[in-house]
Amino acid sequence: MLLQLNHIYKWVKQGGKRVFLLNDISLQVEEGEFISIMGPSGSGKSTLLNVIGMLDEFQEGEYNFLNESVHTLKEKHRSKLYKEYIGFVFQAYHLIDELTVYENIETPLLYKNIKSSERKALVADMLDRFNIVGKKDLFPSQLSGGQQQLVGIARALIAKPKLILADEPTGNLNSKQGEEIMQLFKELNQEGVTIIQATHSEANAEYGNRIIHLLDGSKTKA
Amino acid sequence: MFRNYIKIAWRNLKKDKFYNLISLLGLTMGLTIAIFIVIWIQSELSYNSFAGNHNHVYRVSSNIKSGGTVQTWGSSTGPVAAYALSDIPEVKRAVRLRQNWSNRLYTVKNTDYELTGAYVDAAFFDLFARKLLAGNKGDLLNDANAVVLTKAIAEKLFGTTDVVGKTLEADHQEHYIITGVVEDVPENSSVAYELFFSIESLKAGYATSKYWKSLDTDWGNFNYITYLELRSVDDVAAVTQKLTQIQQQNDPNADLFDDKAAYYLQPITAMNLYNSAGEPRGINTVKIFGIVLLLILAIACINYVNLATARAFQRAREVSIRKIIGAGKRSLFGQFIAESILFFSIAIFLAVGLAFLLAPTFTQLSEKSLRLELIQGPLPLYILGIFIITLVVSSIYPALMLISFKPLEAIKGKVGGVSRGTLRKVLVTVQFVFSVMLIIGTLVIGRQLDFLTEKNPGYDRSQVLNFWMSGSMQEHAETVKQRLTNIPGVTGVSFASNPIIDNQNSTGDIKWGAGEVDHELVVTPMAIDEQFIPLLKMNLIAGENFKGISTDSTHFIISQTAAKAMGMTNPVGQNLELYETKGTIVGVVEDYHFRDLKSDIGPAVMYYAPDAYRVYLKTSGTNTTGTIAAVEELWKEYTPDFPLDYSFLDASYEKMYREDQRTGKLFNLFSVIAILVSCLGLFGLTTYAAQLKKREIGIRKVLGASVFQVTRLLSKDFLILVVVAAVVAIPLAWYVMQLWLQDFVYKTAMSWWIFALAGGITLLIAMLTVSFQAIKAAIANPVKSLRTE
Repeated sequence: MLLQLNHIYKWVKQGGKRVFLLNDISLQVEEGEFISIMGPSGSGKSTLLNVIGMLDEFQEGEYNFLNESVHTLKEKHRSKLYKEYIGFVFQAYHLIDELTVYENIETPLLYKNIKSSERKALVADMLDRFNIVGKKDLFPSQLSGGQQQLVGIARALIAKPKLILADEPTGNLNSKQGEEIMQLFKELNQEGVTIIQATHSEANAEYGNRIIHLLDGSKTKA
Repeated sequence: MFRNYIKIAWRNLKKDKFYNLISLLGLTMGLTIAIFIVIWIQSELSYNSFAGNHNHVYRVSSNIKSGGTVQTWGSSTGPVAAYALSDIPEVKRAVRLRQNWSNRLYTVKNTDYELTGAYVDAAFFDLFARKLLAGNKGDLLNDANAVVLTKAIAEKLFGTTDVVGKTLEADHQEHYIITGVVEDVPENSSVAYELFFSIESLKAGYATSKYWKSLDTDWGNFNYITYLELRSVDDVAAVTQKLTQIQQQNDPNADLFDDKAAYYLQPITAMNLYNSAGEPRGINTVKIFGIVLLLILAIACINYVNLATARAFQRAREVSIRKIIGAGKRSLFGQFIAESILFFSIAIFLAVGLAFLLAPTFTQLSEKSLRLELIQGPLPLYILGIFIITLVVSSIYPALMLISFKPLEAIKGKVGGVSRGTLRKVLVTVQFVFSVMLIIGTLVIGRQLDFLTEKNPGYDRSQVLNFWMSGSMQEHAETVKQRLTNIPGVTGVSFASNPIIDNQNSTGDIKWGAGEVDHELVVTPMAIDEQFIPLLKMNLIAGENFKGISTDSTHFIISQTAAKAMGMTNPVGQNLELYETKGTIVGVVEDYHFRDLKSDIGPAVMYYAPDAYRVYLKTSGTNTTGTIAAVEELWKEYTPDFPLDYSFLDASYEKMYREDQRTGKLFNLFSVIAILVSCLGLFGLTTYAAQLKKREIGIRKVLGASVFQVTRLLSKDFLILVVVAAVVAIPLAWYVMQLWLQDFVYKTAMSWWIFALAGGITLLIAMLTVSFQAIKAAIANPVKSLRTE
């Protein structure tokens, strides 16, 4: 088992009342799964992904990740955990504008203090695999949206995470680009990477082998 | 990793040109000025410090009793050094120095040179550590006609330092034999002479038949500057006490001196910043410049911090991404510090370059030959120090702020805000406090300088030409006076014994009333003729002027202060004895300043002499060049060998305050830079504020807000800070400036309007800066800004 959420509650106070962002969410994810989270805007998809990614906190419930109980961990320990095992892919790509394609992909390795020669090899492999060798010296603004998302995925993968969290990865792309990205996720999943994606689109959700429906912070039966 | 940081830093620099240019400009200006101030202060504090053991060397000042108080003179008598050397074991070396004011012109191979020389004891070269470049150390100044040249002068006069044995002709009559060449004396010194004569030649004037038998026992002539090198700095009190004892035992006029401490030993390194009594003179200016240095650096640093933190929200997204993909706080901190290092390195590099380019201008402004020595000396260390301190002070806070962003919030753009940061508000306020202080400083100094030039010194100094007569001229004083009177453009001629602007003459040889002296009094005497008082439009308040007849020789005219000091309510007709001449007081003249306005008006006594050496010519001012030419022609007739060395009273008067004028000019520059840098920062901040509030402005405009209302919305926050700054700055500036004014006995009042004006100027400049951006934002089309949302 990769991770387990038990009765997670997350709320904010508005005018003295609790507004639930996540309402009693329980979820178990095995290694190798490809899960799609579906729901309308404001249903809590992103919040759930952020909680899983340990970027956001919750008020009640338990969260175990690889046998570590995340809800009891200190901030420092927690960030160490997600940096080690989780890669993020965003709807708006979130590449660093000042860095080239090559440097964007390389950055996570720098933070892991990996040696220069090894870094070069790893980045070269990644560029090769995603067919973007020719683009390696370009800056994000010089790429199309699909290419930027490719770089975003490459960057998420470079540190060899166990889990990829993708928040509407195709939301800013046209259908053809979106399809290519989903195909890529499918391949990655077949290679053993666990993927959880949040999406609006039925078609994209179908790439997953399990679909979770959210509405107003609660799981609903499909 | 570090290379990576620098690479990113460089790209960031290039990307946000507007922000970086503003920031860099402010920082570079601040650092350039800081470099200059450091050089200036260093030069002030290193006075006389070239002397080998300079911390052990003291100048002996004499404490002379005068009318119940003590006057301290920087000079002393010949026996002081002689006794110090023979009777006080704590004294290692003792040197007397007397400027050679009798010789002026030196001739080598038919070319005349004007050089400055001094008579010194031979130990001078050891005490001031001047290396001997030619000559024999043992017999440098043994003979009365020996002279030692500095290297620069030897090369200027002869083209070589191989000049020992050659002859130097002085004033076309005396001949000196060159016995040695020593290394140059730095300019920044009390002994910066070019020629050194043997003090032996002064001993020739003494004889056993005279009252003073020898130089070493002549307690009467205060012509010497005495320098003592002590074995230890702890011995100052002991040496002072022993010198006092020696003086009290040996000086026939022992009671002329303060019997508690006849002398004051002043460190030679302090001679430029304190007067001969050890009272602060220039040191307050040095302190104030030190404060200015800190203020300007602070303003520059605050600029950087303000702009960096204001811009932080733009970088929040980058920080978040980096955190999410694995950056630790330490590496992010490293990255931002690296950016600051790069930025500051560029700034300091530009500043040093700029300092080099502007060095001549600054030298001109400060009238000091300030050298930028980057290879040797302490300057590179100081620059490095400034670099490190400003870097550390300015970079840590923005870096900490950047890395403290919560990744999720930052990525959603929830952080930042220009006007919200309390710290930034405080910093802007502090910055303007400093700016207002500098502006107040500038205004007060300007007022004081005006005060000095406008203050009536008790005589009319306009269009008065004056010069020293030569000996041959003075022999025909009467004819000369007649001929000068006949020169067209000359409306009055008078002879007197001293320059009126700065009469350093003083004597205690005075008795009054019934003859019994109840207290010592030192007065400033001056010989004048009957034209002097009318020519200078001095004000006789009682009695009458000299008449130009023989009885005048026993008549005196005294000043109000002199009358008061002698306890006379009705002085005219009373007895007075000056220089052993008995006579009566015939007139009282209104007090006049015969020293600068940093000294009190002292008692003055004028006696009659129709043929004194100093010539005063009142000119009509219509054809001054023609008048001067005619005077020069007359001069040449009597004195073909020398050029006429004349000056105008008003010019000399201004020259007296040259140092203060300089301070004023520098202050102008500093406050302009300070306000400029502060406004640059403010400009940057408003730009960001306008950017941030774009949406709000758009909505307000759609709802019907006018341009004025929007401008006010943006400007208000900043302008309030400037007002607060002005209020805080006023008492601080008042305190610092009264410190500066302490140097002057006569000074301007710091009226309220100076403070109001400084606040007003600052507010106006700040308003212009802020409203430029605010108006720009206000007149923008709201549809555009709302569409981008």
